[in-house]
Amino acid sequence: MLKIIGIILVIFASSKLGFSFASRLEMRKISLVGFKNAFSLLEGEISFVKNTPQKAFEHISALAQKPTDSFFAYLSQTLKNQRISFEDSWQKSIEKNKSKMCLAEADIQILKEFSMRFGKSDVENEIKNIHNTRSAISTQLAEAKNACDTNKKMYQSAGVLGGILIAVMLF
Amino acid sequence: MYIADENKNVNAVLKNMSESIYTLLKKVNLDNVEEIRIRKNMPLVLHYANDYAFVSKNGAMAIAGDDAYIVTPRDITRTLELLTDGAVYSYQEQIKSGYITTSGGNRVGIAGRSVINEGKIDYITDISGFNFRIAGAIKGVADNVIKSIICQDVINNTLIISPPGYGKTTMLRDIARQASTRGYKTVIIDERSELAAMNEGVCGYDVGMLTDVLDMCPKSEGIMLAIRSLSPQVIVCDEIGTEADIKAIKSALGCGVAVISSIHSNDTDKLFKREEINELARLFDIFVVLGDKDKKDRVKNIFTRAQLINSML
Repeated sequence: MLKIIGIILVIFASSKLGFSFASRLEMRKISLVGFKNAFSLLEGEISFVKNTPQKAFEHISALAQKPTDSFFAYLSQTLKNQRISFEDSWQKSIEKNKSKMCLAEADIQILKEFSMRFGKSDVENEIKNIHNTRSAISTQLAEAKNACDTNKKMYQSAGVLGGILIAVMLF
Repeated sequence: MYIADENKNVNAVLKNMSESIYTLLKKVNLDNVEEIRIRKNMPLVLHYANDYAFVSKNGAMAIAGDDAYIVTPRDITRTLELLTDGAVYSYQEQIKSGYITTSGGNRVGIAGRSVINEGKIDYITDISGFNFRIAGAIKGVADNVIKSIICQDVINNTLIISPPGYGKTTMLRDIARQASTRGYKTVIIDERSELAAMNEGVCGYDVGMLTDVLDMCPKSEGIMLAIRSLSPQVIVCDEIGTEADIKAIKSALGCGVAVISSIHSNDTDKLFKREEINELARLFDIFVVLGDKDKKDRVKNIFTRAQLINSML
């Protein structure tokens, strides 16, 4: 009886691990789509309304999907404290939310570079910055989709089969 | 009786300065300060009505520039970031005109290198300094002039003539408030957001309960908009002078709307010798000249159009 429980637990734990790795791939893809959409909204906020970053990202956080909604909500809340720069607020928000968004180091680097340039220039150059960042994110998104398509099922299967193998070896 | 607004906006001004300067100036007595000048690699200076003082590194007044706190390039960068809420693009049009108006209605002048495009200033970059003008509402500052402006239920078209820094905006603000208090539907065309200091639709100053404000609206367009949709009895706007302004004022007067406005000048005699100002002068009934810094209301002279014409003959 104990053996059976042990086998089930091992298979369950290993499968969970496999599914967890798979869902991280999926989450990264969703996060990058979220950022891409957010930058489109930001373009409108800047070019038509010329809203400040705090107001712009407050509006964006209301429209964004999980998990990027909490990133933008935290960002707009941090920006309400006038004594912190946009760059610092953005970096803080990344640190706080990066594990939830499952972003890769390259994704984070692109986002950090955006924050170093944002808010320092006229509308035309801000739009260029947004377009460049969107383009870079699109490249990362293509890579993330590829990784997800290739590896998602592999991680899931490996988790289950790995669990079965360990259970067989142990018991 | 002059009642200075409790919130003279000093705190609103300070919070737009870099952390180092903010911390320093919080220790300083800023009563009666009219301007705070921040210049890159130069001493921090406070300007009063008739004097100025440096601020030392420990927050005391310094007589000599040697003891003064020296403004760093980081101070300038950080101050610009705070002034623009981290969004220079949002203030692009104002920066082109050489100033930024903060949320308290305080105008901050910008010194730097102009980027010219087709003969016009496209942008100001390499910013070297800021001039923080501390705005303040003084209720009652128009007490002595309002009797000339509103006379037997008639609002006379009035032009305030003043050199920079003599309280022209403060005077206009109080005139608007007093006209509104007397029951006249008043519209303020607040092109630079200084008269009413609107913030998210709420007035930062008391401009009267019967007053509408067209915030950040060009004067000529604002005047026409107000006539079409706000049925004003009096329109108040600051610093007129262009042909478009004159045309809009003529339309307002043609519709029976009184106009109270202002113009920059150090010398009234020279001012009215200019042909374009001559045309403007014919539109107004009362002229209020500011220039006496010893008086609370700074009024030097009030004269009518008839008196002006006589003096020019």
